[in-house]
Amino acid sequence: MKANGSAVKPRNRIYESKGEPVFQAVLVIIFVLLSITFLYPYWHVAVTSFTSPDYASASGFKLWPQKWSWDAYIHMFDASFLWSGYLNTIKVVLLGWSCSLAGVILGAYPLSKKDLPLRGLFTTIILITMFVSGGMIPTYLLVKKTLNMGNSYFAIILPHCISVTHIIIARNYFMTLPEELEEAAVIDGANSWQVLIRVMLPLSMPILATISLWVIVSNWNAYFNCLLYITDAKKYVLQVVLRRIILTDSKEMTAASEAVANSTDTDIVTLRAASIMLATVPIICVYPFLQKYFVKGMLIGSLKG
Amino acid sequence: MASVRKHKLHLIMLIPVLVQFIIFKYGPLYGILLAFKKYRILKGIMGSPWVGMENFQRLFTSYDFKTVFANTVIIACYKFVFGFPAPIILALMINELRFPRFKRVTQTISYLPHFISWVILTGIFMEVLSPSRGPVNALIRLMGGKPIYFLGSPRYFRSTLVVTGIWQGIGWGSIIYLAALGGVNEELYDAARVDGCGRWKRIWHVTLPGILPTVTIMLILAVGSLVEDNFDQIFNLLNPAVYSVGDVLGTYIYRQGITNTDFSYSTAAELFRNIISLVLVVSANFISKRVNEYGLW
Amino acid sequence: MKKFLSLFLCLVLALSASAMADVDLDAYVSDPAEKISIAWLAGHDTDAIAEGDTVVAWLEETFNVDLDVWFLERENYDELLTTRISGGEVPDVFMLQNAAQFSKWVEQDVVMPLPLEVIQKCMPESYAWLIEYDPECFSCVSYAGVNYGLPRVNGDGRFNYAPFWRADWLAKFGYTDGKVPMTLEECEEVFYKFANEDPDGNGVKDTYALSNTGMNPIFGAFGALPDRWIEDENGDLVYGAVYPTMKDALELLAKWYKDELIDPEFITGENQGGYWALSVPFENGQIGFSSSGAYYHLAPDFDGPKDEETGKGGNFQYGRTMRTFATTVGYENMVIGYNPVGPEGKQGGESWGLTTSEAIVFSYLLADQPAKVARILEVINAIGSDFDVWEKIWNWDLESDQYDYDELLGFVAKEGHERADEGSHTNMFNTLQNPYFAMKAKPAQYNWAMEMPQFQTGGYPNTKLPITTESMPNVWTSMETLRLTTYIGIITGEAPVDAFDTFVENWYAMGGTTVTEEANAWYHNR
Repeated sequence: MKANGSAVKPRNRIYESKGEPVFQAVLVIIFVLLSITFLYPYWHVAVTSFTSPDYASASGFKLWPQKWSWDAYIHMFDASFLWSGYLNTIKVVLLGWSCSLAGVILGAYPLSKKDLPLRGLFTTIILITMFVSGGMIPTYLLVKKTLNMGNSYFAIILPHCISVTHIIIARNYFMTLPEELEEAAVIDGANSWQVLIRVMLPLSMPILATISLWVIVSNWNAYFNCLLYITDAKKYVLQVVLRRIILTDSKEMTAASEAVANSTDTDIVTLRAASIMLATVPIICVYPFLQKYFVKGMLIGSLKG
Repeated sequence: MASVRKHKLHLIMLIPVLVQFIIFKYGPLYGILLAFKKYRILKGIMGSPWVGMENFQRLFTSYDFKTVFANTVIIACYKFVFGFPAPIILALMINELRFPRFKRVTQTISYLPHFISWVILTGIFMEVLSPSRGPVNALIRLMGGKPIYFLGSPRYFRSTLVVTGIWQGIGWGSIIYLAALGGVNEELYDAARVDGCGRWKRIWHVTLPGILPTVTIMLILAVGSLVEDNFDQIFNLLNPAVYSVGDVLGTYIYRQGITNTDFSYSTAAELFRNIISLVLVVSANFISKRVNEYGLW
Repeated sequence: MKKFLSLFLCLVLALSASAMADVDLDAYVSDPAEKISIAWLAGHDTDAIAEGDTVVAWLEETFNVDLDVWFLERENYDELLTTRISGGEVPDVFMLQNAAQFSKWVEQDVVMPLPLEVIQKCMPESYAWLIEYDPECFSCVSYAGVNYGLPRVNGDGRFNYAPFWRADWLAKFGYTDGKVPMTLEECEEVFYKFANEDPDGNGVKDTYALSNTGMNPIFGAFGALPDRWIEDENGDLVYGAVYPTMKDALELLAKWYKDELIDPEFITGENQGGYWALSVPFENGQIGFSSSGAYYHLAPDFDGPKDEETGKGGNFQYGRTMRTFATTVGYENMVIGYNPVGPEGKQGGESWGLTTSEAIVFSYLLADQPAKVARILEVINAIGSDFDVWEKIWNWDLESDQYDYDELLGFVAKEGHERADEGSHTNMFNTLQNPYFAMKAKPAQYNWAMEMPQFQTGGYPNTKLPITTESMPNVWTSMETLRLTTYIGIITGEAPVDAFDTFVENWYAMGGTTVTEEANAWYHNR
């Protein structure tokens, strides 16, 4: 992509003023300090997940495991449905991502046209739903009884796939793009679909990448609707599988049930930490792939291309 | 009619979106009636008896509603004043950074806290902020101060909430602004440089106007969510010693509802919150339209 | 007049007889030849049961039933159950997790009344041991004088919490050879030494006597726990928080706080997001007295033999707290003490009570299907009173090819088998939780606790008022908030001790009077 090449060049040219090296040094120091604070909790959890259960509940700073142990991970990997959980989550994420992105684009692009007939009405219809919602029970009745989508991933995805805020943000982004581009394409004989796909979308990569990230992460983390609609254990998503493995402590539990529920040598603290690692490492890896779309110069690159 | 013809394809594009909204958002909307009813499970929502404003009365007349509502507003204002600009500043700082690899790594690290639940973060904060063992208080003592019980003292609790909240959300929140920065026309920077603008002038005259539409929209949305407190955060950090300053609508309703899942009551509480949000958003939108051309409507 | 009275009495008798006759006991018989399908949720589970599970298949064959076993995640149980039932899906038999849910579902008419006569008839063996274990166990599942289900008893409820001390600290002040302070006065004396006389010998004043959970035995020495209902001298229920002697307890605690005996971080609790029964300040050597956790957390290791390499095997009879102490303060530096005896001879800590607040109830749709109710009760009875059946459920193992039985240790996993996965569905079918059987399964821990008088000093059970009264949902949260803030305020010196009197007044005015009346009306008619 040409955009990336031209992105770096103009930046280097700013490296001129005398104060720049000092300024950069100060920024770097600030970011190093900030990064340490941002990194620590994650590091803490990672270290905990590798600590022997006997030492895991000890408090204090955790910079390195007091005693190494893979127990928590061994226990997690032993659990049935972990791998199918990953697979199912990926299915849900991909399905949810395509639905959401399509919905947001189809909603935002027409609404960005200032002279669209009934634009105010359509916008209002969409915006109102930010402030009113029927709640869980009617939605359940609709999805499970009327649409009969029990045990289907569509039950998890469809009710929430289009977010009002995403439409608004995307719409506003479309509105900031120079109109001349579109007009030029129309003169060349392109229809609205072609304008959208060939001109608008390539120019909107930063915002589409952002919305993608939001949608992917929220689908990745979602579990409640899976609990509600999916009763077939083979179809559980990762978060549900992980929750099942950890099981929150409850004071009401009696020794008999507690012993059974936690009948493992692995401590709840290490298990919880390991489950966070298993759940977050893959999703964090998504970001660097989207990051390249945030690079400056996107617009100018396409303009020249 | 000419405009309809011109926009025929655009209108067709909208159809699936409108259908989704009508089925999944408007279809279940009758559930809102629950706010005015006493839910009888076997009779269903429509068949449940009306109780008028009883659920709202329970919300408004409860003993500590005033405190809770005041806390919600005060904490929301703090979070808005300090929390809204924070990710923008971070994004601008990242934008000014020169070294591409360092920049990417820093960015990725900055949103890591977003992925750790508040249950875990709370445990870590108890340790980090502990008056006897925590490094923060060690620093305070080193500088000659007296240790502060950040989580247990009413004087510091709100500040603790705000700071930890910003810290956790700043990286994730900056992503949208980084995306907006990606859309700023690079030629404008070049022009500014030719005109001999310094860094601050460049930021002021090129960068900020470039992301202003995004900032405006995010601002209006943030105003709308003022009364929606970060439940997870407050719920986990809250303790009885700081109820008087930290108990908010979300935690209060949760504690009231925990004894039995009362859908009527929670629907009423949510409706109340949404009405406030609506009023706030409409006013923010109105002001924004006056000040610059961007708005939700 | 006499005549009239006797006529009246006859009428009453006749009426009550006809009321009795409402239950057609003869209908509660199931034909073993008829296959009955049951939607089953009579316990909680960590996991959905896989299709073709051999134990479920065995149950289905043995009792000629077709089981549809539900799985609802515990953390969102009530929400999920409400939604599913709103959608018209009602399990035939299900568990309710606490008193509030029980009251709610009964009031919503989703639950059918289950007369004791039916229980006696269909599950006589289980009924007998239930009544033997806790004569009052059915009061937890009755509402307005009508019985609505089966109670789940708790084998651990007979043991109260006992505080534990730092033995090495105590030794410095003359308590050696397992001796511990017994009275509140002795405790106070030692507490002052813990705080002021450098028990850890590091030359720095950095120790306290107690933190959050250590206060429970102190309140207990004054005759109540703030968050428990207790019976006063007239036999009426009173909420612990407003019990008059609590003022004395608060005065003492406030004094201790001022004299730096109490860890100021007690406000944020002792376990910092970790396992609930752990005490981080105790492990860190900051305090020397705590009462977090039940007897089985404090038990020494009775774990069965294990495979050295894989770590599989054993039967998980070890105290979790003790295991942690082994790596922190040291196993030998900890001694289990007694709940101290107060000025009026009272003592006690937390206790769970003999019966849990979980209830097993039946769907309203079964009200006209007595044969089905009878069959479900038969299944529950068999598991609850036949050790051979129970054993299969407990170990989730039909042929006992994964477990050996050991007189001292109970069931021990055979080499190569792990306790974890096999046992995970136990609770779903171990509906009544027969404590006598549980004792046979894990005898070492139970026997150890039986011989520890510390765990049998009596406590304040949390099941004195196992229902939610009518006015509670509207006022209880505010009343509890007020209790917590007042108590902490008085202890930390933010408020004077006399704030207790204002608190009591406010508490009753806010709705405490009504709640207490409702509680007593229930208590005296149970």
